[in-house]
Amino acid sequence: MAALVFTQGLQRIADTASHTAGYASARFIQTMSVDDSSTAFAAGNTALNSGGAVANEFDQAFDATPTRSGQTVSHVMTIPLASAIFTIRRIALHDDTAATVLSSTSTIVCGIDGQSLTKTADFTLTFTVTVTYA
Amino acid sequence: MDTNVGIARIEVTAKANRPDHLSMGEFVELLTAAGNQIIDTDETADTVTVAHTIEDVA
Repeated sequence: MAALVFTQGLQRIADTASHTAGYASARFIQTMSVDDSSTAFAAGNTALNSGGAVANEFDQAFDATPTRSGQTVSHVMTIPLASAIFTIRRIALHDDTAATVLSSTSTIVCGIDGQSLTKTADFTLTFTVTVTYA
Repeated sequence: MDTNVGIARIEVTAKANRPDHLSMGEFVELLTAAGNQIIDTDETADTVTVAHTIEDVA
């Protein structure tokens, strides 16, 4: 299991913080995904399927604007009843809209793998992903 | 000299929200039967924590 910020994600954060030539106002961390891939994330990944095909993936915008406390930013997303009915093994944050995010789009910023959660249609599931800058 | 600047940690918490038609006990049974590990239950918030991972960034 590993939690990491992808090289692409570090570049996005740098572009956004410093408004470099690569800065784009629409590209900021705004979507969370879950998928059922058993493949570990790697720093050089740019999309969820960089390490191999992803059978099932679900993504959605955050429930509300992320919050910051000190140097920790919290991102919350709730999966609806009928969505993500599979074993959730990876969670990731993306720098584009949910309408754009696919398993093949170059939008991943950071992620955590090695999870095992079974979602059914009986309940909603709320994920909170916090990122601590230190 | 302090030089550490970056992203140090990612933490993920997953909380299943209890549906109205199930008691907390029934909900825990459902989650367990589905294969989830129960980490904590919160009767006040009507949630069951099924994942809580704190990982230093690799």
